[in-house]
Amino acid sequence: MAQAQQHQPKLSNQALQQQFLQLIEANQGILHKICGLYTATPADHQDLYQEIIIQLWRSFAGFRGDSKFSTWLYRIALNTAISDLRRQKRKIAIVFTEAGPPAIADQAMDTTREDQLRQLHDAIGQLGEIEKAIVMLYLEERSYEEMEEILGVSQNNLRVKMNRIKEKLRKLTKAVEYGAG
Amino acid sequence: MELDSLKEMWKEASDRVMPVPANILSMLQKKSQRPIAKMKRNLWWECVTVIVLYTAAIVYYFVAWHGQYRELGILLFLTGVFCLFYYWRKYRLLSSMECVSCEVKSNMNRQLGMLEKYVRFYFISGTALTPICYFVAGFIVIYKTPGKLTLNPGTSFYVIFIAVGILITVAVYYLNRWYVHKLYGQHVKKLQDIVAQMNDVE
Repeated sequence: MAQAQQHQPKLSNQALQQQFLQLIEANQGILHKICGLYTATPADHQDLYQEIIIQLWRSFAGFRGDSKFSTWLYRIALNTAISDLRRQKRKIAIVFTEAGPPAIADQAMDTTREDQLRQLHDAIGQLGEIEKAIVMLYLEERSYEEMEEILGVSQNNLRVKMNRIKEKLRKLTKAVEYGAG
Repeated sequence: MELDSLKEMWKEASDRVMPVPANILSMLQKKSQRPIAKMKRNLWWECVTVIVLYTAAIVYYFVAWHGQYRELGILLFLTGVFCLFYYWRKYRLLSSMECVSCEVKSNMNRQLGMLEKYVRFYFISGTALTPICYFVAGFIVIYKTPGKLTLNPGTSFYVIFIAVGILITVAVYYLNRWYVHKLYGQHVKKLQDIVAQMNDVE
């Protein structure tokens, strides 16, 4: 078996491309989510998506299966997105007081789940680059062990950061709900 | 709003089937537009330009004035060899600057360390080269030019020559410092912030 594996011919470039395309198709959602978190305009989104594809393709031939495919994909996509220092995401200033939002008892707020997801997305956009990566992996239900493999941050540190991020997001989304800023 | 309550909705958004762009195969052939890839390509063109210009200048000094100033040609040759080393070293630093398939933290630390090394090398080389060339070329011209300047032009001349050299060195130092900060200062700061985000609490 080992001998047969040793003599197994390398995949042709076309076969490699087909394999690569299948994997990209299966993970499109993740790639677009990462691009959405780290860019502000559709043009930047497309540029970042293209750059991630190029980096994934360049590293694909060297992927030996030492780590899970998802771990490998997240590492490359996040490394590409985080270290693309040209893009400065437009920051919307949200001002809120430490005392909390004012009481607006009679205001009927549209709290559909789509609005909540949009608010969450906007709030995540206010976080730092690493915080965005952590919260995205958390929402994707990656274990802390896998998050540690992707980010290189210890599990204890990730748990502490995650608690801080949750608190930050609570404040940011409350500020949006009550129209502060 | 609780983050955990929105996990399911977030996941559903990624599970929606999205078509792969039709031009994805053409994307695989494209050049990377990342800063490091662009810097490598610019480095290549700079190197080619330097080789062409230096070759022309070296030939000129060996041929013109019946080769009287061929030592300037030799100086240019040595400077050219240093420039080749300079570009090779920059290329090596750029090539080892990132590892996209590594853990994010180790990649960011590597980028920051390499970029700081790159900036330091760029700054020191650029600052040292100008005064060295000024003094060496100046002495070659003084001792090789007959008639107007003799072997002993006088103390005051040397004082002025050295004073100008010092002024040039100081000016080049501050100009280089400003230029390097303009080119890379923001990137270094951004990487430092990212590394700090990963290191806090630990």
